[in-house]
Amino acid sequence: MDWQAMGLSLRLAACTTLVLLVLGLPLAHWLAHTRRRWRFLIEAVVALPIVPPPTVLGFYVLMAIGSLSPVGRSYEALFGHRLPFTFQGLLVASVLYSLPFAVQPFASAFATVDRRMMEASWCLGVGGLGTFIRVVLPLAWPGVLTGVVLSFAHAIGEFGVVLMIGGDLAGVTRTASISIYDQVQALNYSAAHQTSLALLFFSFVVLALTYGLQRRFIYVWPAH
Amino acid sequence: MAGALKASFEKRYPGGAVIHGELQSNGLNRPPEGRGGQGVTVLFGPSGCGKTTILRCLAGLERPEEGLIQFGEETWFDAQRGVCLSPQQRGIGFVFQDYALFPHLTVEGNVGYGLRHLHRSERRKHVGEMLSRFDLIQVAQHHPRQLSGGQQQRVALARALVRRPRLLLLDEPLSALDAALREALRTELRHWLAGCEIPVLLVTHDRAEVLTLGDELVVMSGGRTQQSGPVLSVFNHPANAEVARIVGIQTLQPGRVVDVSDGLATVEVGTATLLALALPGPCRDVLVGIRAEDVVLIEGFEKTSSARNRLPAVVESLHVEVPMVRVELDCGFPLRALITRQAVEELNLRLGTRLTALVKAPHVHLIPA
Repeated sequence: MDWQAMGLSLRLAACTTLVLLVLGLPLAHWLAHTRRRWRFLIEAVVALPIVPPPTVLGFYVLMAIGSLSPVGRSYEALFGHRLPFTFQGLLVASVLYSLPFAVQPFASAFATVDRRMMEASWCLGVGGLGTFIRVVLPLAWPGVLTGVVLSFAHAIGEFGVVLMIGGDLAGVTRTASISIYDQVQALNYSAAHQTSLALLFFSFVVLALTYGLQRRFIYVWPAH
Repeated sequence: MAGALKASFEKRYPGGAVIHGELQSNGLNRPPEGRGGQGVTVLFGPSGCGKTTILRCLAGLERPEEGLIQFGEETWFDAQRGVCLSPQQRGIGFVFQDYALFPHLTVEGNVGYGLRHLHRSERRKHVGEMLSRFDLIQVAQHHPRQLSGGQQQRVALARALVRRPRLLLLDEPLSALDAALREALRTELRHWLAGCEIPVLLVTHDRAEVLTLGDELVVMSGGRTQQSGPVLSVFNHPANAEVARIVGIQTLQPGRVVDVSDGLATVEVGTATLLALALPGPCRDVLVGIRAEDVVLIEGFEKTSSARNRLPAVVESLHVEVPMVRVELDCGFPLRALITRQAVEELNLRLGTRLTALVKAPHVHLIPA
């Protein structure tokens, strides 16, 4: 089994999930509670990675972060190396690709939080961030957990986008899914089987844990 | 300075609904002697008349389109200067309709929620004081869902008051309770509110709550303030037919003042003649309002009776309402009476029963037409 690729996949998925927490929680909160009319446009953009093939997203991300684009050039000027075909480049693509899998569960969890809870908090002198951390998150955490697990699982399993942005550099951008593809191409079926089985087992454990935890805690604070 | 709330604003909704908020300092006066506290002003009107919107605008939860809200020297909202303080900046206490207690926090956690800025020991002290004042020490570690309706209400009050707000706003504080509990808690709430050292503004659509809880009354309907003043004065002297209906005067008939002497007016209503307390100033055409519960029914039917406000009447219909029976009468004009079921049996009331309706002159309210 390709342990290096497995480790890289886990690292990529963990980093993706972390970035999605930082970006996705505020975005989802805004989506759930804004009264702006053009909210649907942002919702459509967030959901966009679900529909077109991963190669389409990968292609445009490659264009956007490549050496010819302003983003790619300023990144190179700042960090001294290019973004595509690196772990960081992979992370950018992975975050975009998994965005809907984090933001949609987050947003629907936040939408179930009674707006009056937030208003009560404001009237008690607590600001927006304080209210979010002390009221919204504790009430919405099952949905937040779902988002975290889904985006993590999605990031582990992705193939097309990673291949477009990262290529297949061992130890740098060769994730488990690409490694499996390589092993099959090389007719090394037993290695492919090992990695696949490991991924399958891992996915099952994560999902079982999530649903188990939710079953146990989700009804702790029923709507009264 | 407390109680110096002045507000005059307009909140528009897409679709055309407009709510006009009008609260002047006379709306938050000191209460009559002996009632204690800083006085409770009740915003009263039918559902959907904009009461809650006004409360939310005062709290900073809604932003009006026009107008001015001032509290003492502070400007909370000024449309022209683009000023709109956030709820956090206004220093108010807000008790929501269903109390909006935080379900994931204990009673203690709920009450201490707004005191994060204080040192731990300080916070403990304030929370402890509130828990004992509102009789919540026994349930300090319980979660809201484990509490009775009355306890939830007390937690909501304690949570709002522990921050020493300058103004307490309550949105339909009893409507989340079932009928039996509501009645019991009305008096209790009066007790808690009387203990507040700050002005209180309360929204309700329940007449009994107005009478139990209110010192000052602001009657609203159709998004506008119709009348404001001390509760009993508004109840006894409604300024127009709309207010009369809202404060529960079920019989409203056009009448004509034919004579005024010694402060008593003689009014012709339909084919009957009534005596009423005269209105200040000359007024010929009036609306005559009579509360159903102020009508007394007795046996006997004398067409010729000329005694004061003894009206020969015929029963037109009977409607059983719990716990009273509503009787529609014809006594020269349609009159509604509200009597107990026992009285219905004693008088042996049927359709067409002839009897006499009595109304004391002070209970005949004249409203300028």
